[in-house]
Amino acid sequence: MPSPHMSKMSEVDEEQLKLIFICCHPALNKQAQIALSLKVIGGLSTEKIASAFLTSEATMAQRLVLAKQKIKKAGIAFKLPATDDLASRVDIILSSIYFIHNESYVATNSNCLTRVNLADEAVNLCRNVCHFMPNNAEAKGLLALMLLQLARIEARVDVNSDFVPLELQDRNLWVSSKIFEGKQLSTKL
Amino acid sequence: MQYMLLIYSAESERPQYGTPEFEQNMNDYFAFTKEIGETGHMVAGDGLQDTNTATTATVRNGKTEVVNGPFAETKEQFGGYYLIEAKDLDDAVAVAAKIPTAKMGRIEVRPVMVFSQD
Amino acid sequence: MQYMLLIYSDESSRALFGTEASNLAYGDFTRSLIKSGHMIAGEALQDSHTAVTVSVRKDKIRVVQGAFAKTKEQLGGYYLIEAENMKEAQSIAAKIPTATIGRVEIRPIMLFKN
Repeated sequence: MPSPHMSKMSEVDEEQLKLIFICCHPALNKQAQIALSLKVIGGLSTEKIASAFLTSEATMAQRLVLAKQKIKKAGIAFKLPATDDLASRVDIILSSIYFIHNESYVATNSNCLTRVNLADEAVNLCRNVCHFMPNNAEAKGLLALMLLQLARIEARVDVNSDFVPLELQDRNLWVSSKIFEGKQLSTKL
Repeated sequence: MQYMLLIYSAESERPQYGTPEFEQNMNDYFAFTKEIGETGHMVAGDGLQDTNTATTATVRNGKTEVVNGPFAETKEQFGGYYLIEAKDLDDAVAVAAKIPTAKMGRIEVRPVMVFSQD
Repeated sequence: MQYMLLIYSDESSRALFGTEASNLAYGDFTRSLIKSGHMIAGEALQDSHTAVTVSVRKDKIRVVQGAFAKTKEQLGGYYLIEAENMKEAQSIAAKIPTATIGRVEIRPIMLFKN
């Protein structure tokens, strides 16, 4: 049964929300949660997800297949979590989204300090959660955090792909719309 | 769907036979078993004797070898199980969480394999 | 006396499970166990990666992906049998197909029916 802190939603919206919860079910490991979220909610192709995480398409495809098999074998149902479980399940979703955001924000194996596509995907996933759970403060907080960090992404890295500290960043490269939205969200919390 | 709920806890932390805690634990288990009987989850369940009663058998090159002790010496040991019928994984997890030992041990929830030719 | 026979094996070798040969071997074993009157129950379990582990601490339910033990050999199934004594239980355990590549733990059941 939907809890008081979820607004009345259309059937289509509820189906989407169920999908989000399934993709981030605690029975799936983090890698599987992230791959499924990006594929099923984000609508990214397997190829794109693979390149974003610097793995082969075959590896990513296998990961997705195993995740779907697990959902079936373990009997993970297409439904919203019980009211008692809602908070902890939302936590899992947000931590997966934040993981995706961090993957883009900090250099891992790439030469370039940022991988912008994943950052946008994390924001979109979070927007989804905020849309379906408009009274959830944690989701709003995460969206604000990510937007404020993303606003400075162009200024973080110079022409040599070296890191530029905050004090020295060119304010003209900050995306003011993101800063505005981020601030708006955080003041509403 | 059927699930096995495998109950793990440290044998040294389990209530000792003859103590009031032991009585309480038994009562908690009777109550739990009764409850899942009423909700229709219960299929089967057993407690196992301690690991010092266990032996482990292997067959290699046609020869049977038996050693004393359980499969693995771990801090928490397998002590009992329930076989339950549940709607889905979340339902099985909710049942597992009610098992008395869940509060000090851990319950593994594993789906049972279904063979098409049964 | 009742005993639980816990069947452990390396899951990569378990890809054998569900194959023609494995099904036949287990089918034969189970039938003979029923015939001899030892069989009470038995199940095969899905792979350990389909498991979750649940604990309750301070009234909070914690659900973690994966089986309890992070060992190479995992519990794949069990039989519940009636046997005269441990020796007989052991000889039955030795006939379980997986005993040749894995291990079978034999544990007496606690009997305290209310």
